[in-house]
Amino acid sequence: MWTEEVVELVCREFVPVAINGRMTMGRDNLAGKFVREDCQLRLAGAGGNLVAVTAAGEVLETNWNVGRAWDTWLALPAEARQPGAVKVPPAEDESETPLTGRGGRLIRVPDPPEDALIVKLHLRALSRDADGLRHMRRDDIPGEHHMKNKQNYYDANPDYMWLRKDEWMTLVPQDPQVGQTLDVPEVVSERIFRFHLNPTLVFGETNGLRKEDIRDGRLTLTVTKVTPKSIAMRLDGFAKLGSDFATADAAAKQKRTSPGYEPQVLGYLEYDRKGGRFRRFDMVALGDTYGQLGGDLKYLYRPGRNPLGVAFQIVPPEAPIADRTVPPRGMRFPRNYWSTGE
Amino acid sequence: MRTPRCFTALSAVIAIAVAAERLTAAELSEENFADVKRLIEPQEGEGLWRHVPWRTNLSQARRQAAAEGKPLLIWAGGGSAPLGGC
Repeated sequence: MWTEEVVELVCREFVPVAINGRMTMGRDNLAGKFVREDCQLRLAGAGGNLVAVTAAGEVLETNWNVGRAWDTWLALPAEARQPGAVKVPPAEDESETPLTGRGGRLIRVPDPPEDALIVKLHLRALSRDADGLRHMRRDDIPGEHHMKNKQNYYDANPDYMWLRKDEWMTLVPQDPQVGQTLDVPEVVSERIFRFHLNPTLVFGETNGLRKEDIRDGRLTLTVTKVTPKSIAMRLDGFAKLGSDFATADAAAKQKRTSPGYEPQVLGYLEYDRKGGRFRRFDMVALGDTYGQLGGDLKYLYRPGRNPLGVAFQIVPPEAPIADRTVPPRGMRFPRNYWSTGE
Repeated sequence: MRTPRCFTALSAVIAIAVAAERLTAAELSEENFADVKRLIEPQEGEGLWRHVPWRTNLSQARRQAAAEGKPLLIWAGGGSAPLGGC
């Protein structure tokens, strides 16, 4: 549905906003009341919604059809479409408003910590053939199932990694010398392994891996260049995550979930000594994944070993607001996410 | 405002094929790092929704829509905002 025409129409004529539907619905604030009471919408959980509404709460379209939404908008009386025609109540404490979740717990969409290092990553299901690596194709997946027709499984799937300042500072050598090596501290390596190299992330939502799912793994930094302005480092490593191949393969043959991923990791980092922040965080994880994933993702199962790639790139301060605020997918339970290295 | 550049399926296929040719060993190295990274990342014409300047605060977006006389387009996901997957 995201054709060039649709994207251009959205950019030109709409105010687009991407939200966590479930959390927004549950909040006792202006946004939550707008969705529930003014629009009378029930935003779904998994599966998502694309709906168009007026600022007054009139629903224009609920079924992913941007063109129809635009036609419905144009059919409204001209005075209802005038700038300033709708008065929106003044701002309140919105982004921080907690909601009462299951069992009375307070849940909120987390914000990135101050001075966080934010890295955007993309996960991609790959295939290997006589010519080398290529993108996974529909015919790489045996059998027939409607899940195979969803284009997003073949696209690069985004995620974000957050490191607090006290965490990313552990990657900066105090007295850097070219050739010096240092192990990436567990607080960071475990964050990467458990929450960003989880093979399920390539297709869907998931919690992080458990600490015990890291069968092996190590990341090492080597200083490659030092100037008064910057420190350049190369990052090398590997990980063995989840099940080993024999276990995963046996489980898959019995239709059980037990995936694994064994990537090699290579990266290039650059720290700006004067600015006190990283300017470069280019990293790639590439290796084989195997085993059956959980839930409906089992319909995307490919026998044997198949390559999975994960590419990391720093989010600069001037990046769009979404890149600077959308939380890591592994942060469904923030305490777990921040507990690495403990 | 970013708008998508013209996508041609042929150019994407050629780009992927060229990258794949260089990646026969499928091992990550200094030499193929950039090609592998490019192969993984979004290709030209893929996931055009990425080019939409999504806001992430509904009430702020609503105020903007009212001020500018525009409709709101709300994309809602389950476990996270769709921009983070799912």
